[in-house]
Amino acid sequence: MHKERKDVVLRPPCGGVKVKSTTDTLEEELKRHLNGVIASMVKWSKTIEKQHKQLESKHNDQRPQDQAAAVNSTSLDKSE
Amino acid sequence: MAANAWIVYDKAKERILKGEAIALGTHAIRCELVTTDYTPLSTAHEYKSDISDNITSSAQYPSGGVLTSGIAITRSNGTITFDANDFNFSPTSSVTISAKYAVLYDDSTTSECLICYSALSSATGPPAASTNGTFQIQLDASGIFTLA
Repeated sequence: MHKERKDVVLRPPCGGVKVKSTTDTLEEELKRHLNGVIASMVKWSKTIEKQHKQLESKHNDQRPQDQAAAVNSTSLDKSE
Repeated sequence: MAANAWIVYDKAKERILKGEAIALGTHAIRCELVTTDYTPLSTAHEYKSDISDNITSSAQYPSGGVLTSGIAITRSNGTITFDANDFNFSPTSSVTISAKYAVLYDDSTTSECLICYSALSSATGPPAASTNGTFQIQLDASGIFTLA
C-alpha cells in the first residue's frame, strides 16, 4: 500500500552573538565619557602651556642679541 | 514551517573565545535532531550527553545526525558569520522523522561539545515531522549565527 509522502522544510533565522564591551548604566557611561573629555582638555592645556614656554624661552634667547646689535649700531652711529 | 533562530550555548561561546575544544572551521560539526523530551538549557548544557533524547539512529537516520558540509566563516563590516549547507535528512524508505529541536555539536571533540540549537516549531506546537520524505533544515541567507 502506498504511504503518503510528506516533506518538511524548516527555515530557522540566523542566530546572533552580540558583543557588549560594557554593561555600564547610562549615567556611568556619561561620566566615563565626560572624564575622557576632561582628560583630553587637561592634556591639550598642558601641551599649549609647554609650547608657550618653549616660545617664550626662544624669544628670551633672541632678545639679548637684538639688544647687543642695537648697542653696536648706536655706538657705530656715535663714532661716525 | 516556523523554526526559531539558533541559540548558541553559553559554554560554546566560552569555548570559542578561549579556543578550547570547539573549532568551527576545521572540526566535524554534526546536526542532530532531538525529540520533545529534550528541554534545552543554553546556560548549562555543554555536552552531547546532555541531550537526553536524540532520535534513535537507524538505517534511515545517520548515527549522530548529519555531517555539516560547506562550512564557511566569513567577515564583513565587523560581523563574523558562521554558515554551512542546508541540513537534509533523506530516508530511502518509508519512515517518519519527528523532531522538536536541531542541535549542532562538535563531533571532533571527545565529549562532543554542544554549539547551538534551534527550536523547529513553536513552544506549544507539535514537533516538525516528515513522512517518507525529506526532512530539511534550510539555513537562513544570513547564516547559522553571527558574531557582531
